[in-house]
Amino acid sequence: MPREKFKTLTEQMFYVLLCLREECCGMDILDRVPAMTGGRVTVGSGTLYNLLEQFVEADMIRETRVEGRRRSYLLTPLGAQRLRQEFERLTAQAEDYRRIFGKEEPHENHETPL
Amino acid sequence: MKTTKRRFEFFTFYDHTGIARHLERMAQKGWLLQGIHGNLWSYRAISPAKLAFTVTYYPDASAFDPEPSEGELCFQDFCAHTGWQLAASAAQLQIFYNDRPDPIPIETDPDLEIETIRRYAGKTILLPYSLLLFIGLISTFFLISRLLGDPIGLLASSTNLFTGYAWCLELLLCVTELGGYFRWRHRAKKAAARGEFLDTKGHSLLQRIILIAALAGFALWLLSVFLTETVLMKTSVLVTFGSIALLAPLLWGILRLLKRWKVSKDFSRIIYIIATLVLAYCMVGVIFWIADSGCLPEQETYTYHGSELALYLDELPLTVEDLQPISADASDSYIRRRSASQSPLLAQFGMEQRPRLDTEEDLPRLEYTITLVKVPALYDLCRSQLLKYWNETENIGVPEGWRTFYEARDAAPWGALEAYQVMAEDTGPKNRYLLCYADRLVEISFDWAPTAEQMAQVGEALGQGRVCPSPCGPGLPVVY
Repeated sequence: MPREKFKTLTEQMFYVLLCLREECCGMDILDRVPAMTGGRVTVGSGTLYNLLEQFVEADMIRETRVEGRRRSYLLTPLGAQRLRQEFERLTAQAEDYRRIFGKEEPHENHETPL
Repeated sequence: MKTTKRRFEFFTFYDHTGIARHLERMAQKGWLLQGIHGNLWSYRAISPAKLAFTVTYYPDASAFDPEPSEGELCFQDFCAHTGWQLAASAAQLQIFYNDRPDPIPIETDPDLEIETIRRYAGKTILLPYSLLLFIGLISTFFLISRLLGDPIGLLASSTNLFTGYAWCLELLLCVTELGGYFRWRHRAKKAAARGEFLDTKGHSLLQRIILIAALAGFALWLLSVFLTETVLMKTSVLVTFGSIALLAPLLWGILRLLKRWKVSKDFSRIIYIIATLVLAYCMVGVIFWIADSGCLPEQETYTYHGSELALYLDELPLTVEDLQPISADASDSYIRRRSASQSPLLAQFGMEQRPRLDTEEDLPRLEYTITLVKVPALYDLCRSQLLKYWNETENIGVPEGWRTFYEARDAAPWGALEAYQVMAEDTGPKNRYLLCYADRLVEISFDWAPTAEQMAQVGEALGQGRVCPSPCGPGLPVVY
């Protein structure tokens, strides 16, 4: 992985881990991510396969069940911690935004108040 | 109506978007990919359709896998879940198609795609290409060194010329493939940092041109071998390429058998390597056996101090007997040997007449080499090399006073354009000459001082006429 591994999570990584708060298999994740985000985020099958492999390798998720070729996974405490860190990072970003723009809707040609 | 079609396809190893575009066009024409066997791809007829194709790689797969691994099948299940059906696969290469409009791509993370391609290339592509590149560079270095140091030796041999040509093509292929890959990877990483995918750009046209150029060169070389080379060389070439033609399907059959028997990947690899080595060893053995057995025309021999020595009785365009009177008995005590090396650019014929070792009589010797320049632009290069031999090469490490050099002589007695005689600083003139004629250079060495009449005879016999392969024997030049 070019980016420092899992220090920050991509949107796809974030939602895959989010799905794995409950035990589910790869194909469930493929369906749940678009459902969870109203179709805004989709994860490709190849991308998901690689992400699951890497998350298992990094102990962020663990395999819980194997039924034929259907493997189920669940978030580990380390995975939950990383997810929490990402949430906090995103929240901090959102709070920074609110602090600068207030709660108003941003409008076009807004001057940056520095 | 044809229901299947086979095509030779040439793609750069990382050109996944190029392959996908090609397969989309094929589907629009009514052909869906169904199998990959090296460069031979097979298609089945379908109703022309607008299908989306994705070429991806499963780096853990291997050509030695008896069947797809659980992981590979799981990966294919994931793809099937989003509508991607496997069209064909070959080791790590996996090609899927999807008939849904706007399907979710298989790869949605550019960083991960680059990483997958890096793992695939690192496992099976980069090492062989790097080795070939290294060998290609070394070979090209030797080729250039030889071209500078011994252009006649290089350019007068079809085999040397073809080998050099083939290595240059191979080098070009390796540089474009490896260079293209690393360039794409560098740019793809930059694009990935912006969250974008970067399409690949292959060199399939260049690959085709290289293949055609290599085949054309090979055909010319084969023709040249069969027109000019010795029986041994012809037989060796036939056996080598015959064996390779047999070896490839044999090894393919072994691999199929290993897969059918469900032999593990690692064990299959070992068996395959052993089979390749054994079969290649057998091939070399057959060539040596042919060279050493009665398969070749028998060589006349004579015995000297218990050793059997080859007795060459080749026809020569100029003999000692032509130049001075020799008794019939003495004439029978000679070995007359010819050798030839030819290419479309140059030809070099070596002729030698020397007494047999079992001859007690002190008989005169004659030796000459004719370098026939077929491309006039090479004439000065060849002349310089031959002059350089006695002027420079022979003097390396020789102290002053003992050196040799060519000295210009009157060319008229030889009927030549230029004539040079080897001079030794210590002993004076030697009976060695370089004679320059319109299309050939003749180096001749006598062990007596030639008379004006003999010089004229040399000019008549060697300085003119056509030099061509003998119709009566392979590799035997006739000068007339």
